[in-house]
Amino acid sequence: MNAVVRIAVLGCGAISDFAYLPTLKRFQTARVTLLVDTNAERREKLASKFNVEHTNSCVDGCYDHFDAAIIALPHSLHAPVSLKLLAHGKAVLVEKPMAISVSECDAMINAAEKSGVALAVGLMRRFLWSHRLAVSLIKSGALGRIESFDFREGFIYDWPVTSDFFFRKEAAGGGVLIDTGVHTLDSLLHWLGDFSEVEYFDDAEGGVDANCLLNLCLQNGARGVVELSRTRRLRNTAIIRGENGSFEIALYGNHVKLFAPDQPYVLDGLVSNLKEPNKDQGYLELFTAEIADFIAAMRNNRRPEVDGQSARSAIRLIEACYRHRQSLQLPWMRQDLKING
Amino acid sequence: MDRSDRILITGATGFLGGRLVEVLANRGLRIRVAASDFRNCARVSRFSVELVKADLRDHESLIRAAAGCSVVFHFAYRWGGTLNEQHQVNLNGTRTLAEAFLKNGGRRFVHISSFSAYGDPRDEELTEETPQRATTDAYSDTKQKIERVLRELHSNRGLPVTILQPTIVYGPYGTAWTTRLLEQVRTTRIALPTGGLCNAVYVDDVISATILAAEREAAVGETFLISGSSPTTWRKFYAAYEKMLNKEAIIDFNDPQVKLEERRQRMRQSLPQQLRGALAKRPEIRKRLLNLPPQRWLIAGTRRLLPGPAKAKIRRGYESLWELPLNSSETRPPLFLPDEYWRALYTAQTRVRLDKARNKLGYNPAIDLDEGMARTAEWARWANLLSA
Repeated sequence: MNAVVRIAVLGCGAISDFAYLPTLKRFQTARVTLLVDTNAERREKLASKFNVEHTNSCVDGCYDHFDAAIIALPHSLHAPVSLKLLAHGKAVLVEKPMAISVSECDAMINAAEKSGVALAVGLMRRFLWSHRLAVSLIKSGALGRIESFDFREGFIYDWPVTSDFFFRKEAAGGGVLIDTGVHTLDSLLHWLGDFSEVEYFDDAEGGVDANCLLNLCLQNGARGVVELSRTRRLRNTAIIRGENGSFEIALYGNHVKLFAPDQPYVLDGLVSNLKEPNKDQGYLELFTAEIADFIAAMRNNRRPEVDGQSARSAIRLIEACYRHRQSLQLPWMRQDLKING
Repeated sequence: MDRSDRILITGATGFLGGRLVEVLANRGLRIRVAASDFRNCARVSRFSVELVKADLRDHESLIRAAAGCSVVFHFAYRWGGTLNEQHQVNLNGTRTLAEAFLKNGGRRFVHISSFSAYGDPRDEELTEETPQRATTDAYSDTKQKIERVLRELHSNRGLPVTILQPTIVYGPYGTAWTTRLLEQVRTTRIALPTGGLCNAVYVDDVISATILAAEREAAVGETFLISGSSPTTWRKFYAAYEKMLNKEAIIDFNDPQVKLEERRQRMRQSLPQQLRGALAKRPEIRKRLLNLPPQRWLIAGTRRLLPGPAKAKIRRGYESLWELPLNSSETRPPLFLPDEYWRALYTAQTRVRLDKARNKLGYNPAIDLDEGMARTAEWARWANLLSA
């Protein structure tokens, strides 16, 4: 492999503009050499902004221009485009969600195995120090047996979308559950293990869910809820309760509160990294960690930290949710509008 | 309206438009949502609707949005800018949309205006016959002008338009008369003048009227005021939000603390206080001013002549001048003092008459204040707006 990895970015939407392309500028060991998007205006705008040499409306015919690719396309294209690239022996970092079905995930995992190249998934919260501490606390047994959990993540949707694909079921594969929820559920399953049962409710009425609620039972016996929203501000933390204590952790930050059982005391603060003192992790730092890991995996011929197999678990849960969906009761809508006249 | 209609809703990502999408989509109708920014589509994309990008400033986008639509519900209004800019954007955008609709041979164009189109609030019964007064308020003035243009298009070119003029609309997802007031009650004390009437109407009643406007033949070319069945008082309207938040925020406008606050606000706006505020933030400028000749001589003389305790007292007084905020002893929430515009609204004895809407449109408001506020409270609790 060259000293500098040549990267193609497929998809010129907001995530490429505000996250991947500015982050890649930070790397000495990687360079964006190709931008692909069907929207010529977008791809030329970003090519000019980030000084990218090649652009095209599709990846076909451009394989000589890059060694690895970042896929930031509408969700429904993640699997087909990944499969195409993996078949050409290109390493792939695919934005979350990895795919919109388990069968697509399996095809991608198999294709990566077969071609012997890295398949990484853009679940950048795995690189949060607080989330790593959470894994360590749980796995060490410091909290004892995990009894319950409570995850709430919601905000009034404000992502600077450049198209409507997030809101089209066929392109996005779903709504808040598969978009924000894939992060939330990935954290939950990564920390606490796989699920055994799920009861799922959402407010979609032929379109995509903006609000949903999961009642979950895990294989380790822990029970809890996950609530997600695109129209409400929720707590945006996870609470994990064990028999010896509990903690509350920010879902997209390094803030943690530790509680001892039956005690009025709380340890409340930011998780920092002894290797990088006096630093916090902003948005771009997380993308930097994710891309650095992807490049290291390619160079060292190892699995990325978030590989296809580990990202698959959340898709399996999402698929189960949508399969057994029930309507979410919206309390103020209990009476249908009766139009008079 | 039926499945053969393609229905365009502008402003569909807003309060009223969003509720209309919910109701019509549940009837299985074909809806095209015009959105100026897709990021606001989370609520409406729960339904199987077509999303298109359209903006009142982009006339081509409006023409594309109207293509093939037999019914248009026009809720969109772009705020901001000068009076002239609001006119340009909203008036020209609406005209373009209506002309595109006419060209397509559409069946009904429902325009959602406002009772603000009558101008400043007044102490009388308000009917569709009440003359619209000139106003300096940009929103009211723009609404007047838009109505005029649509009536002209109806008279001259046969635009099948119906204009609705809703009053104080509240309910789930409401901003001006719901979340704004919740925030006001939560964070301030509100000096509310007594006695004024509030012509409140629950969102679903406005949506009933909107649908009737699209379906009733007799509605074509007409304008209808839309309100609740009878006015309440502003005190009762605010009290509903106080109840939701379990907090007393309203104080009587004649309360002595209102007078005190008025004096304080005048003081804060006075030149010496503004100067004090500016200097408090810039110690280097204060130091430089003290070093200028007259002050420097005065300080030097004082140092020589005054005894130690007196000098210390003066120094403390001088330092506290910059350290203490004007209301340092004030621990209560700030007081919201309505300005002239709001006072006029809160004191007006306006009674909106619904006779025309009842007789010609078949409108019959079904949700009284208690029921409407109960539903609003359920939504607000769900939306996490009632927690501390």
